[in-house]
Amino acid sequence: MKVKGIQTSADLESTDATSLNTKDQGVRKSRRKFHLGLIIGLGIGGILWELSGRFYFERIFFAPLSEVFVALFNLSTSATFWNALAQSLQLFVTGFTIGTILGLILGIIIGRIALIGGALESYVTVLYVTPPIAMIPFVLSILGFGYWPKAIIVSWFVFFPVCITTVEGVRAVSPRLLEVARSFGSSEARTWRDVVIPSTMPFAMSGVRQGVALGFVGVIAAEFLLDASGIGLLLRTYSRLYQTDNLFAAVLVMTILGLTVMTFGRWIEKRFVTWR
Amino acid sequence: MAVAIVDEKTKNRSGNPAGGVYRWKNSIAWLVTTLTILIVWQLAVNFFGRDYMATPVGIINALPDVLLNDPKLWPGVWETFAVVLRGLIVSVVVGTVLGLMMGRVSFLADALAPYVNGFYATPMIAVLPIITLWLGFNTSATFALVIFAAVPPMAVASWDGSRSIPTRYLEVAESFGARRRDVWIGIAIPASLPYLLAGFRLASGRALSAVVIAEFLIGTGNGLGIHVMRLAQNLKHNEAIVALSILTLAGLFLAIGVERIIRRRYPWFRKS
Repeated sequence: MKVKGIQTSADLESTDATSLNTKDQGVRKSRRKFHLGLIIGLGIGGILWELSGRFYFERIFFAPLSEVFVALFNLSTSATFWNALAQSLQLFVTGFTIGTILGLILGIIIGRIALIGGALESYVTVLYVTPPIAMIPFVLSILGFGYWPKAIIVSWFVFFPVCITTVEGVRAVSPRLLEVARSFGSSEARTWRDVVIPSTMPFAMSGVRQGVALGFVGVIAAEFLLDASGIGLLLRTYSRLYQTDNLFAAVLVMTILGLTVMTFGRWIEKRFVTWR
Repeated sequence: MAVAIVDEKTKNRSGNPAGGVYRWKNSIAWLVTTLTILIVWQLAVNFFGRDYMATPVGIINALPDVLLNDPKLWPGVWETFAVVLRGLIVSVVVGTVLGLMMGRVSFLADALAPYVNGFYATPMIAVLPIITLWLGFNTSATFALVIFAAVPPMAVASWDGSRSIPTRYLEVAESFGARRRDVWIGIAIPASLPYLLAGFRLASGRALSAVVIAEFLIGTGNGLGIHVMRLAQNLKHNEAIVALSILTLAGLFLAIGVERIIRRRYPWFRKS
């Protein structure tokens, strides 16, 4: 039997139910439980965090949750924080745009022009499995400090997932559509515009989703290891000053940003998949 | 022209005798493209670059020297991969158990999901300052970062896997009076295996990244990552690339190896 893809817990419960009526109840029950489990899970974690910070650890190693919230509030009213965030965001947007555009272009070339593609693809794969962070020392010693070396690192992070999924997408274009386009005398440019690019988009967007997440990692890596700026600089400063409340607050902001970025990426992907 | 090539390729897959010609043409194209890349690279650095930058010829010259005569290389390789291996073993066990529990007990899934997703979404570099604060600037911090990087993808994969168990199997097991332990060993784990493999692929990639990040930022120790960093900073780019290629080979080996196992043993398994 073929195993189906990902099922939600609500799905599982509704397959157990036989009649429509109990099925509805199953779904409702699981929703209520969802909130309860989430609240209890977060509650226990929060209480543990607060208590261990207050009674067990030294303050320079671990700040209790309440102090992290206070620090978070202070950060959200300070100009330093918002400037740092804006700086990081600008870096992200620059690197992401460059990486995505190059990834799409090279991906389409590799996928469409089979002769060149075979060779280029093997190099792309080799560079893809190399940890991108390892490029930082090379960029540092060739280009030195500044804004653009960091942007290059970010686009390096974004480029590979976009390129590789685009190649897959171009290869998945139905040969029948291509044949029809050809036999109706469509020019190569027209074929690209009307056939290749539309049917590649959903694949490419799954790469863009990964690229969004990786680009975010790239921003922090570049700001940490190249000249420090933005959120990376904040993290570095707080950890050197042993201000754990600020440090935890900044990491919490990173987590929330990461989740937002992932959701945003999934939203982009979903939009393009339905568009197809 | 491109269309013709694509057609030829599809024919090749369906067993057309033209396949041999295609393969021959393809390897010539591969060779030509590779040579072009290498020559352009070499000439570009010779004419526009600096002396210390890596070139194909320089890398080939450095290859035997680094692999045979560098006293720091192989101890570094050992140190780095020992940490990765230990971290991956711990992560696979912890992540799998966590994910299976989340898949089977929906209450636990709801309670733990924010943590698994949150840790997954947090860039590893951001937590490294906290880890070094707690554990100091040493190998145990590297080890902890590897675990931080590799547990979430394993947990998510085995969570997905255990949710994908066909309910029919569970019902049959239940009606034949299977014990909880038998359900786990007989159904839950085998059904999640391809998911676990896909998760392991992600986890091993992240573990390699994590070890490099940790070595770069911790700055002590003699691992392969910091060795690459030091060579690059001392403007020995050729040597640095040779050392780095060992990391690349490891990544390639893990990614392609796992991919091949999944394709061969679980051809029905497709995960975006």
